[in-house]
Amino acid sequence: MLKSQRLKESLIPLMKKQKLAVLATCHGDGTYTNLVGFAASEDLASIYFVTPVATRKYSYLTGSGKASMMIDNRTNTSNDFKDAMAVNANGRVVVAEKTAELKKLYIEKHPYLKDFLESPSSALIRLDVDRYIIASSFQNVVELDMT
Amino acid sequence: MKRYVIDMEEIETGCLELIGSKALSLHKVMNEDLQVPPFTCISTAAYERYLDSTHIRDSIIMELSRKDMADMRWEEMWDTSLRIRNMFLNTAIPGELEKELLSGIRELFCEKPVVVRSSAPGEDSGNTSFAGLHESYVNVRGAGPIIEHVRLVWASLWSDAALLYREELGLDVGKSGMAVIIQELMEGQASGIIFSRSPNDNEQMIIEAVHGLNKGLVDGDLEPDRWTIDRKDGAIIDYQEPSGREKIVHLVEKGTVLESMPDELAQMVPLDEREVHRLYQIAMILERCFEGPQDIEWTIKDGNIYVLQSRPITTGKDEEKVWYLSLRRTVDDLQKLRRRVEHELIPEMISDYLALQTVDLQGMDDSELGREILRRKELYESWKQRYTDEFIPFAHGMRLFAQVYNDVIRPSDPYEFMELLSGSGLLSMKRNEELKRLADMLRQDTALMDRVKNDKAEGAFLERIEDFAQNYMHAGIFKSREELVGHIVELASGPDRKEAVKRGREEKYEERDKEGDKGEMENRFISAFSDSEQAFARELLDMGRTSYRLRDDDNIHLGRIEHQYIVSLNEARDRIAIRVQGFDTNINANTNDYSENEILKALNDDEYLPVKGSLKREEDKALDIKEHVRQIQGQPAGRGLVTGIARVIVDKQDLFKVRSGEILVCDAIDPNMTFVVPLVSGIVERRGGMLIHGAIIAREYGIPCVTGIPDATGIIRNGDELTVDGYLGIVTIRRK
Repeated sequence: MLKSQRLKESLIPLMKKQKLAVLATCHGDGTYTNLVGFAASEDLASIYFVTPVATRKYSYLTGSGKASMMIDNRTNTSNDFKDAMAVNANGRVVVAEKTAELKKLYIEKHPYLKDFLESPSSALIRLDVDRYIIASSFQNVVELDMT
Repeated sequence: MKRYVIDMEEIETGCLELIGSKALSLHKVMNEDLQVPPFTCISTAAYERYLDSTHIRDSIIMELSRKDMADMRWEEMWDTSLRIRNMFLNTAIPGELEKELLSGIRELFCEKPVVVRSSAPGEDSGNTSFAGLHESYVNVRGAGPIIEHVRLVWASLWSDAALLYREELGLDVGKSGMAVIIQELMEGQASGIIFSRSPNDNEQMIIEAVHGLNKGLVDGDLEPDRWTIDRKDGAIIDYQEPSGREKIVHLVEKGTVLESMPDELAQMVPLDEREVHRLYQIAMILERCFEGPQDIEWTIKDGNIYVLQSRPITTGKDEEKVWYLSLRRTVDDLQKLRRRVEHELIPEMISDYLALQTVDLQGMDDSELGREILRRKELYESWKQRYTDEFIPFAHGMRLFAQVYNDVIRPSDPYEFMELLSGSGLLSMKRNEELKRLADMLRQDTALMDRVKNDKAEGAFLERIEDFAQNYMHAGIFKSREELVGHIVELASGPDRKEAVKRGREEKYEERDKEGDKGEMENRFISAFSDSEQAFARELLDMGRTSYRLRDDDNIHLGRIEHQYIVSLNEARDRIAIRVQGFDTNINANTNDYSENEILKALNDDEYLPVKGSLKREEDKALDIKEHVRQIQGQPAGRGLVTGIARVIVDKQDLFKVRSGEILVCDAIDPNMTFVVPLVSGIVERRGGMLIHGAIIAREYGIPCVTGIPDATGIIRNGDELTVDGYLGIVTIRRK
């Protein structure tokens, strides 16, 4: 197995287990962050989340077409410096069609967000990941190219 | 591993958390060598597993996070409870768990009729005994239906009443559980209740009895025979015969029915003295056993007395909560209330305001006018009280319909039932339709529009304005013809509301309309009942519609009475204005600033010059410019998504400032204010609820509406750009 393949597989448990991610968006010279409930595709190529369309987050996402997300497993203790893993996903965002397949992917992870996802006033956003940046053991950083 | 089904013989004193208070009480009753109907218990472990394996726990957390419960009105709690109940209704018990429960039940009960009762830990402890917080179902047969009802009992852990008493119960998603008792139904010849200590006299005990099952007695539908007993020696101090033993509760295929009592039985007292004495003895035993006064349900079958349940006597201390619980009425009770509201109270109210209209206020001298003002105020206050006492409880008719509709149809949207109630010909809608017709006249005839704008209305338009004034200008809103005409001109200047309201990305949404029109929905509802039950289903639907309609209409009638009171005050203000200006012509007598007290003083004393009050308007509040609420969550009360400019209503006069397409932001809208709704593109309201007036009218017009936004008129300013997300219940505020 390639090293990159092993690295990718090591991300899978974290991406499955964590429910929330920090979403970073940009607009003009400004930046903005939010917490979002996310679900990743099996191959980790895409990350999905839902947002109401009447929000800044939505207008920044559709305005710039790009975003990054941070998914981590910190516990808010000093052990985090040793044990925590933080994954940064960079890429391009698009509004995805709420197909049955994608709804299933999202609702399986967040069954309580079904109404939120299905509302006509919310959008399913797909982050097509260009690159994962994985930080662990305090200062070890590895990049995984997904293109 | 914790057990899911625990039989009555296997119960141990230490397992309260697993079997709940009622089951433990029954166990203690058995230990006193008293008879209880055979029962088994579905433990709280089964509830926990259901909650976790179906993710309902997470959904309840989401539901409860919508708004701080302390800020919720009871109507919002009812809504929250309805949505949670719908989660349970639409989520089957996972296969393996269901198999285990079925195997535990099937052998014991086969097809015997049972009662499925709640048994929450702590529910009936000495500190937290509140009758009727959770559900029980009488006469359920077969393992499958029993399991279905277990789910409903689980859901009732989150009933509106339980949410109301959440602090007393310590209700918590993470900790609270619900066990369920499945108890063989004893179809006794006589049944009743015992208060081992009378609420009115510590030395006495009360025994009440009816023929047949005690359901009618517990629900308040039947008047019982009543014995007052001396607690010292069991002597009968008093016996009260009911005014009539007309009805009896019988078992039918599913549930129970209230039927006419056979004449022969109606003549008979349900208990003899020996039985009364035996019940007294049982009550004293149980009081000793539970170390406190008991509220006991019992039945007598074939000469044996069975204790159905025993719990500490309920003491309602919080009047508001007790009042709320009193709103929950049975169908029979609601029918009586409907007859009273529809055929007595509303005609009486109409006759009252018509009589007031004929009084010649101008012909009265000042002191007569003063007395007339007080008489009108008293009349208005007495109608407001009757509104609280009788009209509001009847509004429960639509809630009862909602529950039955959801039980039989199990829709994904718990408010689907509203489709069957809307369009019931609300008075406020009739008023608005007439306003629309008047606006259409102007819209179609620009020359007429110009003449009306120049105060030169004439012909048919003017005649219809007069007709409108006769029928609808009594609601305390339009103070003059000018205000009315101004509103119609504004209506005519905006888009014709026949056009669909902008509905966000509606095309991707599964609209309920697609499920069929109202007729089809109605058929689906009726045909969900067996042939013999369909008449009842129709009756219930009719009652729901009447309740929906009258809830709105009675406010219009009440508004007319209020209007007559205001008219009398205005007459007095006009007189006082002349007096004040006569005294000093430099004074601009804005007589609206005089309180009723000052007006009355001036009417009774020719020399008195009234003092102005200082009426502080909400908008005078200092605004914190550093903090700005940008997005806030309430209840989605009318579907759709719209963006527009806010018009904040602080005073009723602000309604006349509303311009077409604006978003109405108000504290609490009532049907006397809803004439403005055809102008607006969305509604945001502080008062929460799905069945409140704002939500009802928004649905009638298909306008996005969010209710339950705390301090809506404080956090939103005129001119803010608002997005009202009526799907998710979110309001986004952009300050320019």
